Amino acid sequence: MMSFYRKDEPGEEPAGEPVSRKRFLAYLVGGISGVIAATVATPLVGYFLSPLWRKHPPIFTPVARVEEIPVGEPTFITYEQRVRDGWYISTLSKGAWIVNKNNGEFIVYDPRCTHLNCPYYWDRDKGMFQCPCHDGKFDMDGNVIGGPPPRPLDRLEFTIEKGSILVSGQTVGEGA
Amino acid sequence: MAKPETGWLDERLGSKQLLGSFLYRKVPKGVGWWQTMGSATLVAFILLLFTGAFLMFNYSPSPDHAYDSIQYITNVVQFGGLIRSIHFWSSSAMVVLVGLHGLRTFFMAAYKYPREVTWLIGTLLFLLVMGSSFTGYLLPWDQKAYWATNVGTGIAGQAPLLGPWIQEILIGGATIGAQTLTRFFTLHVAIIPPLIILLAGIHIFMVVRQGISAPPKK
Repeated sequence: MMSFYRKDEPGEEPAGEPVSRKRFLAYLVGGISGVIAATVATPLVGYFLSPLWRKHPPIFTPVARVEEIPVGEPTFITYEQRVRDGWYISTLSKGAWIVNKNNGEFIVYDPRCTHLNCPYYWDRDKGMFQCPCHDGKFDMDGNVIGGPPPRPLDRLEFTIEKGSILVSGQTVGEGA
Repeated sequence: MAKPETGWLDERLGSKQLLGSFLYRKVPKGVGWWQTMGSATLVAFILLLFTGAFLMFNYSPSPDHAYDSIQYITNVVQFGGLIRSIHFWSSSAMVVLVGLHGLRTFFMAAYKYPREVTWLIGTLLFLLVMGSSFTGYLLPWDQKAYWATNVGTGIAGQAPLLGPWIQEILIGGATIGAQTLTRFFTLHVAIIPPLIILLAGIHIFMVVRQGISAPPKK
């Protein structure tokens, strides 16, 4: 216990004990500093990395009332899609084909042909979707019935709330 | 017990001696808590540097996105609210601590020979801290920030002769807007901190070399 009361000279290591009082205090200060540094560093690292695993929920935009879409008559609608990108929300002008199959069974199609992204139209007389660029043809279920398209029409995610059709702009699958 | 290690690095950097001159300084009698305010200010500043740099990862200094990016930091980014809070509270703490540090130096007459240059540099550092505080206050771009800057630059505008000029230079035009935000942002992150680092480096070097002044006898 001698060294407990001894005044050590700066930098001098008192002999005789495995861990002197001075050494012990140095370890203690170092340890506490380490804990403080880790406490600050952990949130900083988490903060830096979190945008990698944060997924933004899609924004659903109301595009039409259900009663506006006649049964068996695909209807083209346009809407302003709000897209969340970090703190930035941009607005894109978009379109979609909405099909009301059996009064209540809805499908929302991406309005671009799956061949080369041309906008297609609904040919009422033939009862099929027709692409003007390379003569691609789709039926009301989105299946390819002619021309070069490699896969059925892309479908868009949507929900129906209180009689409104809301679209998120996300593709959920192809064909039927 | 092994001898204190004289390692490869120490042999080349002299780090032990360097650290020793920091930690094993002779300290006059009667030195106490009042003499820790400078170090406490330094700790607050280091916290501000780190949290501030990380806030910049998600901040956008433009009028249409500044507020949204702050909301994004606070509500969406992991630990964002915590880091913003540490930055906020450290800045308040730094202003208080630097004030106490200056008052201690003044009332204990520690600014006298041979420490006048340290005192003058400290005065500049005080102004830089106030400038950093003032410019940082605008960055959240909410109502409080906007009107506080309106008042602050308005006060500058009241100075005789040069006042309106100074106000216009601060704002970057006639009204507070995009120019004000970008110039306050640049001052806050790219001009003032390096100046503080430079001057505080000299300030601390002087303190280490000259030692702490002995407190006056009552």
